[in-house]
Amino acid sequence: MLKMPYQIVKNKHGRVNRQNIKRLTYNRCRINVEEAKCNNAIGQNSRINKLIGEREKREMNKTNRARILNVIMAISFIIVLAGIADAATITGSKHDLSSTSGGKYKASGTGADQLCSFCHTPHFGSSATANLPLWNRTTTASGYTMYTSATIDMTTAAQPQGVSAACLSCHDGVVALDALMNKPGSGLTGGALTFTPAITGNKMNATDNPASFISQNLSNDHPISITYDTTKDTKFIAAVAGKVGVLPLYGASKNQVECGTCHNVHDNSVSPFLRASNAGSALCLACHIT
Amino acid sequence: MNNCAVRIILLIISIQISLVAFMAIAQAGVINTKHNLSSSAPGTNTFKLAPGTGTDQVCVFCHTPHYGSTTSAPLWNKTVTTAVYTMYSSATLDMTIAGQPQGISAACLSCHDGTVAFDTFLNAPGSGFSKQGSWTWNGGKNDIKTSTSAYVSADLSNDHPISVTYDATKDPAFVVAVNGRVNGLPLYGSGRNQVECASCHDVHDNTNAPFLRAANGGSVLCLKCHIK
Repeated sequence: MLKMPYQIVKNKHGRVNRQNIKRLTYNRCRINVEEAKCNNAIGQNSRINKLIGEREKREMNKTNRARILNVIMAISFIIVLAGIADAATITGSKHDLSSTSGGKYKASGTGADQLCSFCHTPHFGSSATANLPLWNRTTTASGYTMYTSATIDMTTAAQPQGVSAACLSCHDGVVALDALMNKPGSGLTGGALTFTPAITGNKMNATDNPASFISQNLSNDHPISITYDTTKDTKFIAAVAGKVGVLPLYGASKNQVECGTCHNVHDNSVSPFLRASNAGSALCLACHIT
Repeated sequence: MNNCAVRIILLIISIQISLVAFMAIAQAGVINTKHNLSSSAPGTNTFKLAPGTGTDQVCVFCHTPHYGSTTSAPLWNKTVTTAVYTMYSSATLDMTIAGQPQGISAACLSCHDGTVAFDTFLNAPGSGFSKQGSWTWNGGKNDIKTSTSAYVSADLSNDHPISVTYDATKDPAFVVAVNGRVNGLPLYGSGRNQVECASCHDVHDNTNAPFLRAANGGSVLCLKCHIK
């Protein structure tokens, strides 16, 4: 009687209710219902046995839920680890212009094996694009035709800003691929590089790069350098801490949609350099409420 | 893991599930409508790509982030139609109709006139720059001509006028527009005074079939503009 794990209290009408069966012990071991029944002086009462059974079932469900959750957590952890191990890099992608690249273009010439140097430099980097880590290219400040629409409610800057200006320092075709602020090797200036296959003037253009050549005409491209403000248009998902879902916003206030919002320049595991899969237009729908 | 941690995690998961469920309910969206032509479309759609074929991207049939049309709706991904349209005319019409469909209506017609195939793009999905998907929909169809109700054709003489300059001063039997809207229905064009397909239709939302901006019970949609 004393070892009984359930305390059974009759109510004023002499009946036992579900809430009157209380567990006396709080360890995490399974309660042996049979033991409870044996030790129960009034255990022959089928109603009490039924209530004890129900109680036991609830305990079991709770334990099973915890087990399932543990399995889910373990699987998630493995997926995260796998993701880290598999993280693609720029090496070998189309953005790798170096002499060892397996991408579209291979450079040859002094320092042509340094793949980072096509965009970054440890010294004498551009200060024009403050948001960019040590950009090694001249950005173009003017001459762009920005996107406009009669139905757009948010505000677009007059010219491309920050990280987008950096992307355009190749993709607008104005600056040559090998026109670097600080060429690889000693001294600031190195020789010109040659690309294989050849690209006219070493600049991106409509003939050689029909898909990736954006030009300075951005009127047929998704707007960039746009201040993301869902109070101006409720058909957009609100940003949280400078991100809309997994997509980052840029600028000092972390509220600018730039090329880097959808694209990850360093990772082509989701071509064309997308931040996430666009299956089912998921990338579009990360911001847009249709 | 103690019980307290388990409970907190369960709570977080259940909140997330509820949020996702709520968003699915709260957003009508184009995904579950006939305007989803992709392989991820609802199974009941007439024009649905077979699973695993073509593309599962929904937006791409009309919009593209790059190389879109600048003359039509936002970043329109369809080739501009070359059709010559027969516009609506009437002896009793007082407002002015443009010579051919304008702006957003031209975009709608780039599918609904039947001259441009569903899989003809300005920029087809995926990396690279192709304009043609070369896909087929149920039974080999790839344009709207086989549809009996959605095929508007290039003959617009039997359709409500579009690309009409809405001007209630020309006809007092119309409600005056306020800030480019007539009782909530939007007007288009740079002057925000053009009646286009989208004045009555919301291409992204089929809550009020067929893609109406509001339910038309009691003809309330008609009566938002017309004083009868």
